[in-house]
Amino acid sequence: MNKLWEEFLKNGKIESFPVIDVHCHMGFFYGSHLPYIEPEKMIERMESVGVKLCVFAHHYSLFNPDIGNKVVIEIVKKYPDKFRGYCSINPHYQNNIKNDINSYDKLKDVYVGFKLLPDYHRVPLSNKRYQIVFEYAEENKSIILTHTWGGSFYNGENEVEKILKKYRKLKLILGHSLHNCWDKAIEIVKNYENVYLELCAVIDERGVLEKFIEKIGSDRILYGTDFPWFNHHYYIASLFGAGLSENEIKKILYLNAFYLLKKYT
Amino acid sequence: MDCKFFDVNIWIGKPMNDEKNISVTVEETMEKMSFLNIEKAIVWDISQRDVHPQIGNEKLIKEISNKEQFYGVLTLLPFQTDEIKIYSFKELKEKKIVGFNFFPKKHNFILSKISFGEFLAELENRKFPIFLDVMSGFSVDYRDVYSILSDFPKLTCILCNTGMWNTDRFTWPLLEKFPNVYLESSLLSLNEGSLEETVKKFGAERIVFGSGFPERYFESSIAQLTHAKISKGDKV
Ligand SMILES: [Zn+2]
Repeated sequence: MNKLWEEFLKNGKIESFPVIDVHCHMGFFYGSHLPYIEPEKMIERMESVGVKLCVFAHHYSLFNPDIGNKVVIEIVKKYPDKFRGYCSINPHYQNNIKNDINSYDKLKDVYVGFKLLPDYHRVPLSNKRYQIVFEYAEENKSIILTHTWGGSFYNGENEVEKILKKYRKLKLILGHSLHNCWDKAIEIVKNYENVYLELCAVIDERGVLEKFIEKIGSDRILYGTDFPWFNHHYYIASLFGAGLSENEIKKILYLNAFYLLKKYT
Repeated sequence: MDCKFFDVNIWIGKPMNDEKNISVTVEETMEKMSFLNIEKAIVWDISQRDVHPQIGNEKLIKEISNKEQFYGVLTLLPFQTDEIKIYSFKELKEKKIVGFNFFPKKHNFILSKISFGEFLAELENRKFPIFLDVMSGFSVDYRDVYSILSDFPKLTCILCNTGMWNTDRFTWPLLEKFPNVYLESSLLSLNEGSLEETVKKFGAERIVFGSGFPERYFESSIAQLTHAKISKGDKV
C-alpha cells in the first residue's frame, strides 16, 4: 500500500490501472461556483490524475427541461473515449421521458443508464412518474444512478427499498450511499445483490469507508465524485487514508465499474 | 517534490459522540504526521468544545507543553461570566498558544462587538489570530463572519472548514475586502479548482494548509496541494 501511495503522491496518478468515475456532472450549477465546467477543461483534469472515463449527468439535463439530454449526446459523441452519459430524468416532464426512452435504443454509444435526482425534483423514487424508467432499465439491463440521502422522504432508505423489492434485477447505484444512514446502506447491500454503493460525499469524512470495507468488502463499492464539484486527487487519496489494500483500491477505482459498464464502453 | 507541511486544522482528544470511531490518540496523530512530513501543527482539544472551554483549554496547554511539533488554540467564552482563566499575551506565548476559537452556537452566546468588543479590538491591533469554523454548526456561519469583520476589518482571521460545497461565493468577497482574512485549505482542496482559482485571484499568501484531521484524511489535503496547478513557490 505504501508503495502505491508513494507513487500516487509523486506522480499524481496510479500508473498500473486507470480510474473510472461513475458519478459526474458538467456545466454551471446554481448552488455553487464550479470553476471547471467545460468538457475540455474536465478532460485536462482527468488526464492529470489518471481518470480514464467519467460517466456524467449534465446539470442542464437535470435542471433545464428545455435543453434536456441533447447536450449529453453532443458531448459524448465529441469525446467518446472520455465520457459516457446518464440519461437524466426529470419526473415533471413525462413527455420528455417518453421521448428519451424512445430514442434510448439508438443511443447505446452515449448512455449507460439513467440518472434520478429525487431530492431536487421533489418526487419520491417510488412515485409512478419514474415507473416507466425503472421498467425500461430493468428489462434492458441499463444502470440507474439515483441520488440517495439517509432519512430523505424522496430518496432515503425507505424509498430505495421499495424500488429494490419491486425491481429485483435492476442494477441500482446508490449515489452518496444513503448518506449518514451508513448501517442501512450496508444492510441493503447485503440483502439485494444488484445494488452498489457510490462514494461521493462519503470519503470526505473519515470512518465510513472503513466501515463499509469491514462489513461488505470492496466488490460493490464504486468511485464517484460529482466531478467537477469535487477533486480527484483529494478523493483518491482518501482511499489511501482509509488504509485500504492495493487490491481494494483497484476494485473501487477501476475494476468494479469496469465490469459493471463493460457492455457499454 | 518533497514538501514539508504545517497543518493549522487538527483537533485532538475524544469527542463526546464518536459515531464513526474517528478519534485517535495523540501519539497516533503524531506518528501519522511524521509519516506524511507534517512537521508542525496547530491543534485544539475537542473537549474545549464538547466539555467546557476551561477544562479543555487546560488539557490542551498540558498536552502540547512537551511536544515541540504542536501549537495550540484556546477556546473563549464571554469574559463577563468569569468561567475561563485569562492569560496575558506573554503567558500565551510561553504556552505556545497562537490563537483563539469560539463555539457560540454550541456554547450559547453571540460573538460580536457587544460581547467581545474591546478584546477583539486588541487582537486586531496585536494581529493575534482567531480561528473560525464555518461548517460544523457549532461555531459561526458566514453571516456571523461578515458581521464580525465589518466591525473589526483588520482582524487576523483564519476561516477553517470553509464548507463542503464550493464556498468561493462566500469567501472571495471577504478576501477582497479584509486584508487579514486567510482560508484554511482542506475544503478548498476538496472542491475542484477552488484552491487553484483562489490562489490565482488573491495569491497563495491568503491560504494556509490544513487537513481537518481526524474528521478528514491528511492524505487528501496533501495529495491535492501537491498536485495543484499552482507554482512550486506558491505551494511552499
Ligand atoms: Zn450528483
